[in-house]
Amino acid sequence: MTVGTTVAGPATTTVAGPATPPVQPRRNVLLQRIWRERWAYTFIIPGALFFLVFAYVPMLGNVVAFQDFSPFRGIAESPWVGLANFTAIFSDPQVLVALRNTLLIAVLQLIFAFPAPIALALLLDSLLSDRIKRMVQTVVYLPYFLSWVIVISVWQQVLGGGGLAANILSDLGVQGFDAMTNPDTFKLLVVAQNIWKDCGWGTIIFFAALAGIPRELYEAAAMDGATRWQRMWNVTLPGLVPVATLLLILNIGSILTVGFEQLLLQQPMVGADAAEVLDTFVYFRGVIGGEWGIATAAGLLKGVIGTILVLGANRVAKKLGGEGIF
Amino acid sequence: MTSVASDVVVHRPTVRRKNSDHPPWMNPPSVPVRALKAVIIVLIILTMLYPIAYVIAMSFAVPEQARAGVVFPTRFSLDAYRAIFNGGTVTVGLRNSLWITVVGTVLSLAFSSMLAWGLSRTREVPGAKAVLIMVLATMFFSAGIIPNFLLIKSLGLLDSLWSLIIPGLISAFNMIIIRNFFMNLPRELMEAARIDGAGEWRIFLRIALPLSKPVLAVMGLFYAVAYWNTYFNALLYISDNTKWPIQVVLQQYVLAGVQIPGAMVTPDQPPPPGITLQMAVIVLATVPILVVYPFLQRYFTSGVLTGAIKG
Amino acid sequence: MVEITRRNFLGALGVAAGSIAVGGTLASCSSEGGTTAAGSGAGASFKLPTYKPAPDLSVEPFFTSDTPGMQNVFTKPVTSYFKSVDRAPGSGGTVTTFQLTWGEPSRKLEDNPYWQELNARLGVDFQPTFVPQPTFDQKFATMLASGDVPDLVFVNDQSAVNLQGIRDGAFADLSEVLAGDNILAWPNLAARKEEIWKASLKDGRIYQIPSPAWAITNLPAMRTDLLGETSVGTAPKDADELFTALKEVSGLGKGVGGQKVYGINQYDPVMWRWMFKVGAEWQLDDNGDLIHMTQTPEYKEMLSWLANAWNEGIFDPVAMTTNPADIVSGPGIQWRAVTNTFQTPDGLKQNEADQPGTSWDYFDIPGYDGTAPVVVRNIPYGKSTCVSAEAAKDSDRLTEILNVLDYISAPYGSEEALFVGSGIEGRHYTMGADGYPVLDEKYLPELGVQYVGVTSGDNSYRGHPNQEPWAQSFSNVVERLAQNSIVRDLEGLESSSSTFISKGAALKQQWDDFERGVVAGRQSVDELDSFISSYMSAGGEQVRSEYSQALESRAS
Repeated sequence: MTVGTTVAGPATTTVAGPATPPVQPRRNVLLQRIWRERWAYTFIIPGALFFLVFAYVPMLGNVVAFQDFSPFRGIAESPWVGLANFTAIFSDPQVLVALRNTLLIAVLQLIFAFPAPIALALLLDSLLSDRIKRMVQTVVYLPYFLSWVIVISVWQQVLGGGGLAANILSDLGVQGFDAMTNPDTFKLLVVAQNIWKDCGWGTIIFFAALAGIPRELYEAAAMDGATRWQRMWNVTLPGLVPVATLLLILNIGSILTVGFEQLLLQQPMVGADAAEVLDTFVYFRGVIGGEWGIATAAGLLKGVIGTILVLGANRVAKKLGGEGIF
Repeated sequence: MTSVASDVVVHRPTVRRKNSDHPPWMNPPSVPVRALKAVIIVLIILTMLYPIAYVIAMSFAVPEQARAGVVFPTRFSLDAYRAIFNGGTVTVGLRNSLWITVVGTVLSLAFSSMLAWGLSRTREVPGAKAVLIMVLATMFFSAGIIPNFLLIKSLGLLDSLWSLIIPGLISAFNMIIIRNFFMNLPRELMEAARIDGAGEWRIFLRIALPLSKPVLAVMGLFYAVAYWNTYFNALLYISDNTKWPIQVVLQQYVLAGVQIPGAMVTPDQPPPPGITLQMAVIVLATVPILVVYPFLQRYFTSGVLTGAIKG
Repeated sequence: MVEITRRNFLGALGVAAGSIAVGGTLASCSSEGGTTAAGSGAGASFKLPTYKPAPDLSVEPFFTSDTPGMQNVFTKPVTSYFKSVDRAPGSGGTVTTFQLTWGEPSRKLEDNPYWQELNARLGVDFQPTFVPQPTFDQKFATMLASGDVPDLVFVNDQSAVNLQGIRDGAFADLSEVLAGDNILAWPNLAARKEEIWKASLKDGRIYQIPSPAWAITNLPAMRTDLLGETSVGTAPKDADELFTALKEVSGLGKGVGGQKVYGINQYDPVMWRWMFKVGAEWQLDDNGDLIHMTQTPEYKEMLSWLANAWNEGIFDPVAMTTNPADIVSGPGIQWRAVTNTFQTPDGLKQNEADQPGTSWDYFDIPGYDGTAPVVVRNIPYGKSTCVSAEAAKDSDRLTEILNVLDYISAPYGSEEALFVGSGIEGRHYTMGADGYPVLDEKYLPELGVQYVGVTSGDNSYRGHPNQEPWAQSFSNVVERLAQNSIVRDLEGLESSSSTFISKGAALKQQWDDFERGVVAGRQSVDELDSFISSYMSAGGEQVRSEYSQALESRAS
């Protein structure tokens, strides 16, 4: 809109006094701009229609957050209950535990798991041999394709109470090692599992960004006598910043969504006090109990919070001189 | 000015790093740094490879060892794979998934990059910003399974493979990433082309897309993996089981070990499914990605843009 | 009026439920000749369907018993098959189903001789909707929401979504159609006892056709090679002796083949509950008040014993996992399901074959104090099928649908059951020398269209011939469990608490979490009282009062 006002400015100030609002010329300018960009709309309209039909139309169904909904009755015949579903969520003592765990895990994720793929991508990028580079790339993204059930089984075999590490340690005289059932360190375990599983896959997008950095920049930096380290700091990293900022903003928006399956599977071993998160709470309270209203209300709350966080993060990014999303 | 565009497409980087002589500015780092890197890389590979090796080994384990619960099998058989391929329905699933993945990925890339391009100039195009925010919001607000199902039903897409493509045609996340790359393309190129009178479509097709091959390759991979892994929607929308995609077919083998209906009503745990089957299923579901990945890898190599800016 | 009635049995969520007289909405329990004054709000009363047993099996049982909770035990298959129905079930209509499916997808009708033969024998166009188990509830919900309810629907009445469907009228009330001798038109449907019907009523009415189920579905098995090495041996007499034995098993460190061994390698609460006689989840105390299991002194004793056992290394450190693949150790005692231990060719026989040098047997649970354990019987019915309310409006259609259900639920030992379960002789199976049909794996996928939503008739423990060496010990152990078994006070009233239906999962999670926490040492037994009060305030008290009310109205 900033462009709009600057363009419209001179046209309105000349003739009209303060009493007459500059509606007419402005509209013309807007129409002009629309006409000038008419081709842009051929790109936008199909996609916008898609989101309208396949995202927004079904989203109308979220009104069941204010109902005691049951599927066979449908929205038309299910009774309206006002904010009862929301109060049911907030009056449950368990929800505080879930919220605390969710936020803790999310923050740890942002601190440790978010930069991990960037670091790995930089490390791989610094390898000189293309063959080794490709081979390592191929290996590191594999864990992404394992389901959580398998991942946890394997971790159990290595770091669990009867696992490899425990056996080696007990041969060395250290008894009782068990990294898998300790509720105090569980959140770090969750983050470690995430890094292990998704970090390699996460590098792929940064490879694409690295591929977009012109080689001339490196050459020029080398000519100026920059060391390898300086080149990475001054050329490579800035090249990754746009994507990294974008991903960070989007990640902040989904802060309330942490690995549902991963936590559900491990909850019996470390206890709900350590492993209950919002999504597992909604699962037990809303989904299994057939309380559609509660599950939907929780989803709406998460959406509102996610949107606020993204808008905030976007603003901060722009303040810091970055690009933000919009 | 079209010469610029074609220049960009044709002007590939000179690849000269085939053998060990690096360009003069790529001097190898000092020995301790290299040693440290080597150690880190080896460690990473080991931690990542162990589970993969375990999964593959278990998928070939003899049933006795798998049932008895060994840490790593020592005797092998093809039983699990034989059981899966025996019925011949796996090939049907493969065909369905291949179709969904190929058609879906092509359409998704097309529609996502179009929208991304259209939204890449929010300042200039009135309304673009509103659309962008509308798209962004879909990442945080979603509809429940029932409204989605009713929509698919009312569009007549139930029991059609299109029901597995159309609802996921554009991922907001992927679209925004593509847009971000578009926005970081050298502006001078587009402006020059515009001044020369090139239309939006021409700029999009001849300049933006060719310059964005790396990100399109990555997004293609993301979409392909998502389509290949289609599971939940297929279960909801497709009742005709000859139209099931491969993931559903494969998961059925994992379930085959589950004690069927009685287990649903008694509080007791179902008996363990055959672990070898589970592992074989993972291997089979992952192999195609393994095959595709190397073909995409070349787009990730640095330096694609060399020469483009000065063009 | 009908609407209100439906609300009663599940309770409307806060909506005016209190103002409606609840008395008499639930099946009265007075067992006067099976006549249930099932006075619902609709005012109708009906006679429970008559029980007409299926024909006797053509084989002698290995073990017979009249003990409530026990079944006959067979080790041999039948030698000849009887015909259970005489008519062609259908008359050319279409019957759709909503059915649980497992294994690989079935082949298309054109390429599927089994399906074609099924259509021919049923006399209808059989059109299944295949529903894989992982999304059963979700798909059930979308099916209800779309309003297209198939004719025959597999129902799991322990699931909230499924119960919502019954409550909201998606399925037909079959009370009158099946009442008394009416059911004799469907001989296979008639082959189930009144207790099964009674226990599965919803709001005193028949909405579902239930299958018979065992009262005892699980029992422990032990490694005699491990327990035999302990100072106690294989027959500990009380909790202390068992503790010693299990601790010594863990102390062995390694067993056959260098495999790590523990007294117990996976935690399952049921065996301990039986041993410590804690009774059912909700039970009447000596004063006739309804209390939760956790409020009994025995429960506290059990927790202390288990926590001590964990502390002393009796349990494998991964014993709390829910994923069996996590466990790679060998157990002294293991909790097993009858279906995958005694009824399969594998079972204990395969365990011994897999690890030569091990020996297995069933384990007789002692009571903790040296007397007998207290076993809580399961509800007497299992998987169930409902009929679409829409389809049932037309009585001819309803008859055809019930005819089809009658056919496909034919009892074990009938020609129909043999066909439904094993297909066509010569293509899908050949009759083995031991009298068991041997399935041809090549054509197995064709059988995927079979409907397994209901079974009828014989409900014995049918051991596989491979399990014959253990048949005596199996019979002895289960018989003793049955002799010491009780029926839960709330039998037949399970769905009468709306809070339990909606919050049951969350409550169970909370309870489970506490119990596992105490056992694994995260929490202390001393926190039991504070747990109980938080459990009660989180919904437990509401459940208790709803059940109490249901018990009262049944008594009156």
